[in-house]
Amino acid sequence: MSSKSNILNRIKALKLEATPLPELPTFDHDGDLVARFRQSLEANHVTVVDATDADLTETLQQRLADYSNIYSCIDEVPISTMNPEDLQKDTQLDQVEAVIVRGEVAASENGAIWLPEENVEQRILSFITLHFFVVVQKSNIVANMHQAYARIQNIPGFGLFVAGPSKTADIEQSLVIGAHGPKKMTVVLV
Amino acid sequence: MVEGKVGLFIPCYIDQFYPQVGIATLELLEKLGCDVHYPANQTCCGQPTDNSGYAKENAAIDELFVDNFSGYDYIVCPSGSCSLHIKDHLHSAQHPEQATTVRQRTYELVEFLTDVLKIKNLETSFPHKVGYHASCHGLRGLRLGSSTERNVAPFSKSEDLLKMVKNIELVNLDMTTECCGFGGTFAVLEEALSVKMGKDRVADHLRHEAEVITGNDMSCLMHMEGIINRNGLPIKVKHIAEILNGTAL
Amino acid sequence: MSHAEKTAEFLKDEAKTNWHNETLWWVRSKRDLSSKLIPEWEELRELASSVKNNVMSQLDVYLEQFEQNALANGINVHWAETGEEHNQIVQSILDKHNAQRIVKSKSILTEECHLNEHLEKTGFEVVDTDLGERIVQFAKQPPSHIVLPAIHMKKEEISELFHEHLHTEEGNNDPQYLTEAARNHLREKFLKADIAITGVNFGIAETGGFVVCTNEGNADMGVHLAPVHIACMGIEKLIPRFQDLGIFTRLLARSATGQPITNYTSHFHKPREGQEMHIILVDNGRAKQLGREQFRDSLKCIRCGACMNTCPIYRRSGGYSYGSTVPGPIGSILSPGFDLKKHKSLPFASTLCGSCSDVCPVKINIHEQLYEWRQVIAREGLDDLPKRFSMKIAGQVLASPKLYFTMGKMARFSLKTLPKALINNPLNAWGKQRDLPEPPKESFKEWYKKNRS
Repeated sequence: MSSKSNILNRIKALKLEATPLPELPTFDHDGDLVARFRQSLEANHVTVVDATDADLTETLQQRLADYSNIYSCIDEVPISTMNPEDLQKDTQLDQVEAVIVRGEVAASENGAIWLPEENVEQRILSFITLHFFVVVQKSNIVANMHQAYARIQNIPGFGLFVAGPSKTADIEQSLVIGAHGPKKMTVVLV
Repeated sequence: MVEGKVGLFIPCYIDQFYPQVGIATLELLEKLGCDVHYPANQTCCGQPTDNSGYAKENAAIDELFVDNFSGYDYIVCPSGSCSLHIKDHLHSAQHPEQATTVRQRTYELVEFLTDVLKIKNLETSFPHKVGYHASCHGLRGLRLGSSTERNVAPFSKSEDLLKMVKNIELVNLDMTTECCGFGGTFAVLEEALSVKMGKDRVADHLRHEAEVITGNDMSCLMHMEGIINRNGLPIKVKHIAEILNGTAL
Repeated sequence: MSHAEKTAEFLKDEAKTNWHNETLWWVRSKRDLSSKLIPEWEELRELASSVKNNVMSQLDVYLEQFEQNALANGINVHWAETGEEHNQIVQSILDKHNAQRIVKSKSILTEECHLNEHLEKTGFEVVDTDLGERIVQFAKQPPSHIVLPAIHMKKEEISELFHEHLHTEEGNNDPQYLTEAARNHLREKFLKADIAITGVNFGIAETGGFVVCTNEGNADMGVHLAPVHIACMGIEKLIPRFQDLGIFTRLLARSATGQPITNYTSHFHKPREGQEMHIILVDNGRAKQLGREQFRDSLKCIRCGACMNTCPIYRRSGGYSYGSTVPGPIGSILSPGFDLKKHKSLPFASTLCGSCSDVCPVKINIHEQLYEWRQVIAREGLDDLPKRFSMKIAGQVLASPKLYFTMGKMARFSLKTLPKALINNPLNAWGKQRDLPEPPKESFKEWYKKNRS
């Protein structure tokens, strides 16, 4: 008998009676969702800036002055200085300084932004860049995680809720921003 | 004032070592108009053996308890721990229904004063700075107060009663709902840790300049008093029944 | 050594005990601040508890559903009855790929299975990439807390370790500096890894995917670069629906550290193009625990560590005093299920204060299960003889009003007449550091007889 059948049989033999599965809850939150979203991000060491569709590229460019290795995953923001071939383990992937992506639904209670892999081209880009830039439409901000998950209709091969730059407090509970992933994160609210 | 007979349940260690707490409880209930009787053959609720894993050895202790306390409308006890134990664990193979009735009618003293007698004032005075130690079983078992863990509106039945006592000053503690480390047999089985927890609890009260530590359970207070006396610390313990009854410090 | 013996050792350094206690209480306080911001917090706990109860009542159904969906997504699914089998499965994957360099993100399950020891014996280099885990790996210690692995270490100790292993400046204790050194060291490991191993926070039956939560991003740095991803999951970690994540992502980080969510919540459904993805479903005693009615609920655990942060015993004794992979209150109800004899002191390492049950996001009745394990231990005759004997005597005395009255009188008499030196000595555990109460001249019973009846 296989391990699988041994394990399943062991469980089935208990003949446990199924208990009810509760309905998915809906909790709401009154108040300014965008303001709360901004607060959540800033409390988590994320820089938040405002822009419009028209001045999005310019707003981003102003913040990229210090960087020479830039990759944008947003078609409307064509400011990449690196090509996909540059972004390989054996080329310059490790050198990328700024990655720009579009976020989808976002939760105001904690600043978490949903990034399905189709928005990021390569899964590693959200993590290996020095500075991570995420563009979020204000109209995509919902109150909480229940509402955010409800908005995800097509589940991607890989999806990430990102809420801040990489951090750790493993050394005597002292917070350090920039563990293994990005040292900085900026959210552009459109 | 309440209709019916009140059976007084006095924990074994109060009977043996702190009779004044039993006396204060009795006097307080009598002052508040209760018809109180003390069943003479009672011994113990059985918690010490139960919590050590010997619940099944307790059958005889349980039967004795049911025997003593059947027939009372209320059973009142100046201990959160003992009251909770009866409510949760009292069983009788011989008289199961009576056991259930006894469980349902058992009250810790503060619970009884607040929920049944619903008293709103007390004619006593205790002009001292007092720290209230919320014993764990009363706090989280009987929900005598909101513990800091849960997201509920804050309340404390014991502190509400203490505030009715004239001239009392309740101090704030750093850790409002921390365990004192008594824990029954834990006090001897994990002696070093038990003492450390007790020391920390007393230190919290001293930091806030309490003169007296009070609480619902004499077991916790006995443990802290043992540490206080061994170390000559400038603080005393007093069971809440004594403060509410007006016993002087 | 029992918990009591190890704790007595730990307590000898009172300053360090106080520091450990305060640090963990601070984490608990952050959890409180965070939970008080959610008016529906208690409702969320109830929901999470009900969802997990449902999972435990139909675990076989959900496991089969999970496997079916995972396979359809292109994930290889393996089943392991024991920790040893889990380790062998991992090794077989490594052997198949001629892998040498392995990176591993936090997985308490792999600690439970002793995966690192197994792999190191067979010649593989395993690098733990969570900073706290890397620190204890350098120190050759297991993690002392399931979420904060190096919580018991001071920065001076960590600085020394990094000086030895990473050649950082001697005496430079700055957390920023030390973290930067770890970042650079581990970046190289990530780029060169053949295999990335992760744990699993939640497996989703409905979709065949799984979720990994980190703040450092180390799990993702490993898996998105390595050609092979091996995920290790205890069978109890399933949730039924994708949208149940709404409940659990709101509870997990808040309960663990007080943050509203971990910085990275990664949802894996398909391997990336060209990558091989594996998931190992591990039993290792879980199905057995499922069969124990009193202790079934312990499997609801989502490994947040809140019970450890709140426990007044854990805070003052540290993770190593428990001698089990998962320490603290939850460890004390899980570990006796694995090995009752080895862990028989754990259910007694508690005053049953109930704080753990009140912070548990999935409402496990931890303190009640501690009480139940004590009954099992006594029933199995695992309790030591002197205790068993004294409990039997106590039971008889307390059941007899006459015996009780006589013994009580004798006890008070001895307390009064015996010299203090005889009572307050190290042999009497109570009297070692505490005074006994002053014996009154009469018991309450005696007073009542005289004054009332």
